[in-house]
Amino acid sequence: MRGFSVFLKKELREVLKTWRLWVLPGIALFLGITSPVLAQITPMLVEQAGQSQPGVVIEFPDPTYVDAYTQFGSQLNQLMIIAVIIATSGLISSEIRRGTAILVLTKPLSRVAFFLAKVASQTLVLLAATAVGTLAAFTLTAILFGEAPLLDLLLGAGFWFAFAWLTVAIMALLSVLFNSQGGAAGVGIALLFGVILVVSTWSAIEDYSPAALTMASMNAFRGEEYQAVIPLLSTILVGGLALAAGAWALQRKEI
Amino acid sequence: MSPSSAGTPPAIATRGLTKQFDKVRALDGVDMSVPRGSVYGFLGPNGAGKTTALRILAGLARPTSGSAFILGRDVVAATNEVRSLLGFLPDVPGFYPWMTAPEFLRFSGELFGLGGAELEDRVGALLALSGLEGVNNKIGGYSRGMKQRLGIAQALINAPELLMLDEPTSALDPIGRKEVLEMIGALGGRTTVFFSTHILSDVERVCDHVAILNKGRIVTQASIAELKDRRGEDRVVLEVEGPPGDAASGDAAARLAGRLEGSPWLLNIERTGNGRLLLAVADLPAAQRAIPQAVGALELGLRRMEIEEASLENVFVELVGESAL
Repeated sequence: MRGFSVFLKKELREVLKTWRLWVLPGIALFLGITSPVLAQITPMLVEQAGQSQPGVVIEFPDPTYVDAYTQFGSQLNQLMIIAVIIATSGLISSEIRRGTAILVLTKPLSRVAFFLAKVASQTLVLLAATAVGTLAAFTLTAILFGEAPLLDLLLGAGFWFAFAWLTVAIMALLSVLFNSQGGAAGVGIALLFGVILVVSTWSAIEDYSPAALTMASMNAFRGEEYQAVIPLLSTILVGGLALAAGAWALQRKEI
Repeated sequence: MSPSSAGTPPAIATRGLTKQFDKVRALDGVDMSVPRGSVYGFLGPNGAGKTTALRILAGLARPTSGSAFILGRDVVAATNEVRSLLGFLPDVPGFYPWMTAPEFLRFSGELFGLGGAELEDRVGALLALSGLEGVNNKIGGYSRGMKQRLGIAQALINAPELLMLDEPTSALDPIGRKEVLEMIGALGGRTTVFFSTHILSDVERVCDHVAILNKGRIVTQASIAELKDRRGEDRVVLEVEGPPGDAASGDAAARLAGRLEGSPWLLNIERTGNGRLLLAVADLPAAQRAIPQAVGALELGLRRMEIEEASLENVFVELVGESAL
């Protein structure tokens, strides 16, 4: 792991000095702000739309913090995961394509350290994004609805973060295997929808796979019961395997 | 096992180094030995396999077969050990555009485990050497020449025993080329410099040794002086005319050729046109004495006598062919 800390420091400085600081945290902040607002105004908009149709009366119960949290969770599981896939699709390949990998990998920086430092920095960015979005969602929910249970929000966001970290690990592997950033992103998105489809139609693995974390996350946001232990363990296992495969593939790759 | 012969292994040694890409054999059994302390030109036309060889030596690619050693260490087995002894500049260096030159040099030094005053001293010295002292702009705004000079500076941050440069001057304007060649020339004697190029004049200007690679094979390797002596005979271009009133210059050239045939200093004689001869000579001073005497004895007029001394270009053309230039 020679050179890991030096390269991680470089990665974190790069995050602070370039656009990378703004993309995922920016999207998460946007979702954290807009989700409670949308939860608040959606019933009013639908009711008003109904009033324009003669004889149609649409009535919604007053929205609560649960609607705000549910909206936030849905956005994380859809938009934010796709944003994570796109943002990490060139994690390794972009360094190779720009020629920067050649300059650092011909110094005493091991390829494993290079790979893991890239994943670690992206994980920290993801953690910061999750924290920013969650804080925004908590604050807006408390302001708009007068109630915002912190534990439900933290658990829901925490389970989602674990699933998103797995996405980063898989994308890191794909960005070693594919020289094209677009190719890796395409395969990543196809994989995401493929896994969701398989898990939703194959009940035998539904409760055990990492994909179950998205369900656990939504249940936690709603304050309902959730099963997260086995999905968390399987996420760590699959993520670890993806990282090991990525590091091995990079060791073998000719640059 | 290093391929050393007398205790100290050469800076670079390869044995039967071969690299196959699908149907293309980029390197075909390359045997090479680069003496320590030399400025070694790795010369060849585009597509000869120079970059492939350098990438294998730098640990970026693996040979299909054969072996390569840097300072006695196997480049495949002793990867980190080799890298700590090596400075490397690829043909198109990629930098982090948000960094400044001092930041990139510090980062490079830290990867070698350097720090504190030692690192700061080296950064300062290399900024001065590369002419980037006081340049605090981000690297993203640098010219190609500035990036190339920074590339050489970063390759020197660990005071390497071997500096490998891949086509360091190929994309530079004349001023940039001059600056980079001066940097390379200034390193001679302090560290072994191994650089690939297809520019003959660069090699003649700074190198003391050269290997010529063509179609993945080493066609020759020697010191520059030895190579010129061995393969690059001097040439003399002559143009003669007959006595006044005699328009048959061709006859004049034929008569002179007949007179010179068999001279001990003459290697070859070729009639290249009306009144013109091209002589390949082994002993230029003897030829310079004998040719005017022969012209005078035949009462011919000497319109032109031009000496082309042995050059690396002659050698290169002879070994690789005109099409490579």
